[in-house]
Amino acid sequence: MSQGGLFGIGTSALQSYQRALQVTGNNIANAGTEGYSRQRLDFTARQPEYLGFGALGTGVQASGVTRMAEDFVQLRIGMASSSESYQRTMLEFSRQLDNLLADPETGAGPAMQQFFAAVQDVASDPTSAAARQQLLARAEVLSSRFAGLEGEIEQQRGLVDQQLRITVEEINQLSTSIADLNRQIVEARGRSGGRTPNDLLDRRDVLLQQLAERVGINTVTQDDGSVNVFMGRGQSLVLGTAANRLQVQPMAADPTRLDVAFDNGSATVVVTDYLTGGRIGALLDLRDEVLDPASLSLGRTALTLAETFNATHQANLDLNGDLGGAFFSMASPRVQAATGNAGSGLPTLAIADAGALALSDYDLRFDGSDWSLRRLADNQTVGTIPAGGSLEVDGLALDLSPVTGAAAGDRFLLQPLRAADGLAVAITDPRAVAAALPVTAEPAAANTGSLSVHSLTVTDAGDAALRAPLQVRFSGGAYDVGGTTVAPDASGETVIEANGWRLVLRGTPAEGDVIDVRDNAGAVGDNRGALALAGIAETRTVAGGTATLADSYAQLVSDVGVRTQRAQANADTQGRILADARAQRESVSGVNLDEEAANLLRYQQAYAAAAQVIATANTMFDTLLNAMRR
Amino acid sequence: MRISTAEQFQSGINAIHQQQQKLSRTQQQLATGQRMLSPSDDPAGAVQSLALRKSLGELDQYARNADAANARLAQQETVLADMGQLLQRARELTVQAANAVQNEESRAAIASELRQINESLLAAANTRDAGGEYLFAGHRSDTQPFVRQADGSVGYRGDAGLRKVALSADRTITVGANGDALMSIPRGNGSFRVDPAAGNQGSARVMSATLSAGPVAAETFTIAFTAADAYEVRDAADSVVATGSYQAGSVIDVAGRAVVLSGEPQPGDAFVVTPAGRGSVFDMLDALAAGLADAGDGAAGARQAQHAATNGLLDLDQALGSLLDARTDVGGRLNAVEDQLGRNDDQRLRLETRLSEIEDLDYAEAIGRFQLQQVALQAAQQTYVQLSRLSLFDYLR
Repeated sequence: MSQGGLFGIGTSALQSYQRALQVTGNNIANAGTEGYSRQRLDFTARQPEYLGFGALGTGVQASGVTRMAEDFVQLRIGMASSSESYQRTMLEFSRQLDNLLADPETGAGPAMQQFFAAVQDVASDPTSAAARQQLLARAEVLSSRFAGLEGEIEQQRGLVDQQLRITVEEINQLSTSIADLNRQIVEARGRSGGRTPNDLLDRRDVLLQQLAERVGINTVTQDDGSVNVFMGRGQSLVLGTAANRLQVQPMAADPTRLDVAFDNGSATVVVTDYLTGGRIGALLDLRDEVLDPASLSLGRTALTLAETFNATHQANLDLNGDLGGAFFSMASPRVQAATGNAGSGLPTLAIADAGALALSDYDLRFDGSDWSLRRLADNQTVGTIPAGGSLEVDGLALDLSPVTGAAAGDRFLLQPLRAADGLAVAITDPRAVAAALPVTAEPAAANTGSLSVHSLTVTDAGDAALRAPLQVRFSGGAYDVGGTTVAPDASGETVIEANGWRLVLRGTPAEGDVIDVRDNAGAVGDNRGALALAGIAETRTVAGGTATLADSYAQLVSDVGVRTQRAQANADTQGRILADARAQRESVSGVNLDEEAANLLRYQQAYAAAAQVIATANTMFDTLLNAMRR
Repeated sequence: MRISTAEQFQSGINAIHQQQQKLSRTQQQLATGQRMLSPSDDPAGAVQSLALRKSLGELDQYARNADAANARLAQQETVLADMGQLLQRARELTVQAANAVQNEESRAAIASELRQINESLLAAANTRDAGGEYLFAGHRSDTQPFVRQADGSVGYRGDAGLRKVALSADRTITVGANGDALMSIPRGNGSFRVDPAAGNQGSARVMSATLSAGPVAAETFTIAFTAADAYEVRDAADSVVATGSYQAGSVIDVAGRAVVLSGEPQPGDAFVVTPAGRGSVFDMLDALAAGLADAGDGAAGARQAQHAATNGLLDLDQALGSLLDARTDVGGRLNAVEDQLGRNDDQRLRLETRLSEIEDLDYAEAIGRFQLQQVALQAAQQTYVQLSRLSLFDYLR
């Protein structure tokens, strides 16, 4: 055994423990660095010296620096980040809408109720100018509430678009950075003979996690240490050291909205429908599943209110003795031509029956000979129309005659319900509020039977003879109605329809008895029309007669509320899963200062001991030298 | 499991955040008194609360409607009561006028007072409400309903429309009035009337005229005396349908109509039986006053006045009956309004209780929760501080 052996052992230990202290120091220094994985110095015993009696150890050497990290934990964090970011974005936006809809100051529910209360006030006192003025004021408030809510939804849509642009830009930057790190990692491995560049890996993991927060991704690690990143249906964001770009562009079918497209260098492919998870998935889903349905539902409520109220109002008589005009005005249904249509002209779209409206937009597409109309809510083709033809479906009247020169593939987007912001009060003169019926029916004074008028309603306000006087005379066992004969009904209740009105008579007529139906102009105290208007609030007018206006609005509040509640619960859950994944990562990779302090002590002591070995070797050497000197 | 230092600090801070969020939520609940801070807290509850608030708003509206109905009906009732008093006074005067002691002048005075009463009645029938609407004009509420026409008769300018007001979702009540139906009454006994022919010489007069059985057709007959004790009943075509011997106070049957005459007729005297029809109270009072004023002097005059008064009394009783019916009807509707208001109040209480259950905060529970959360936050803060003080480095000296 040589003296150099002991010195060598001592020196190897000194060097190794100095490096160990360096690694520990680095761990302590990076205790607060995001994404840092603690490192450990691996010791191995040096090659032993084989002597006759056996192998003699020759000291210690540092064999490598291990990064304490688990790939599957990193994967879990990536997935959890995507989900958590998705739910948090969803919650952030839907909560705003949620608060807006139910707030008495901004919601349409209380405004609608006050509007119909004002109608009742007009019914109680139809000649009062104050009550009429109040009704107009309430109607203004109601229409501005609808417009305000639709405006808020539109604003949120704008925010979503803005966020979409920002997020796509962030994704591009992250992909570029990851591709760049891939290059550095591959190079570093080459330089160091296959050893892992730990700090670069940490940095790449952080970037991958940030990318996962923005969009759902899959990663595949290559043999050279680089990572390929895929999203959607296998579009590669990062392929080795190259990054591909995403971009936003206006949708072909609806230029007011944005699509996300993938640019693979040679062509752009629209990938909007394939993007799931992460912030971008939430933004796209928000648009399709929260904002658009809310807008449709709000629009349908506003449209139905306007259509039904107008129909009744137009069958009434105002204080000037004229038939009522339209009470509300609406924006005409929105029709948008797709970019690149060959034909010119827009189809005309009108509301034919507000009660039959479906909560959907429609896609109209030309195949060269026929147009097919597809309901987007359930992707059903609801009608086929020859070129230049017309169709009535789902309460809509569609006329294609204005479209000329269409070629196969031409498309239009029909948005009949985007109308809530177009609702306005059409009349300004309180006297133009029509609260009376245009006709009145009275038994003649000379009648001797017990015939009485049970009810009189207007069925067709457009009938030219509506207000013409007409005598219903009972003679020869039947009613003579301006030349036509109506037999009395055996039930004792006889219905007579003529000139656009419907008269219900009760009682037993005597021969020669007369009911006079005549113009009701001047009957300013008549409130039958106002009562009919007030009755709209209680009538199931929406969605094929299944809901009242208030129900329809409540349904919207409930839908958004349920969605927000679900987003809240999901965000909580995903937040917990993410926290759990992070805790797991921390448990493997995180720096514990106490542990490092203990290591510091351990290595310090080992270092001191190694120094002692050298001292001992030195003493032995001195002893030998002194012995020689003597 | 290893705990990293960063994790240890982070989890401490997370715990504090969570406690602060809970505390802040409870604090908001306590400050607003609301259990639900946004619909997503309880979507089903939010929808129910919307519906309940709508129903409560409607009840407010129905209460306002009922107030309006009450005011209108109460005013109608007052006017009808006034009219009743006027007619009652007219009746007293008519009874006086029938008395044989009256002479031409006193009858003229009575006639004059009857005319005054008629004008008051006309004014009452043209009453307006606080909003300037005529109460008894039907739907034509801005048109004066009763107008004296060029020929002196009173015409109705309103219509038969009856305004209705909603008192609940399924109950409406009539608050309007058709003046024509109110003021137009069946004349005589409601079916027919009997008048002495002009130029009767005898002292015979009508004692009573009633229906012997059911309703009769609208036909005209004449009871003609062929002798002082014999009569013939002739129809409109002048054919004799019945004959009989006259006896004062006995019933003469005129095709289902029982006519009783008294006094002594002269041969050639006649009584005309005509369908009564309907007429306005105003015209009836005018005719009565005219009949009394124009009766002339002497026994013939007294007889004529008596006849006018007898017919007048019949008409007045019809008018009083009609007014009484109208008042009963209005009173009944006033009661109905009260009744419905009471029901609405019951319903309001139920709705408010339910709304409170859904929306309102249970303060006792919330305050308890607040204190618990406070303790939890303090615990989180204290443990954080204590834990952060622990470091092995402190012992490396």
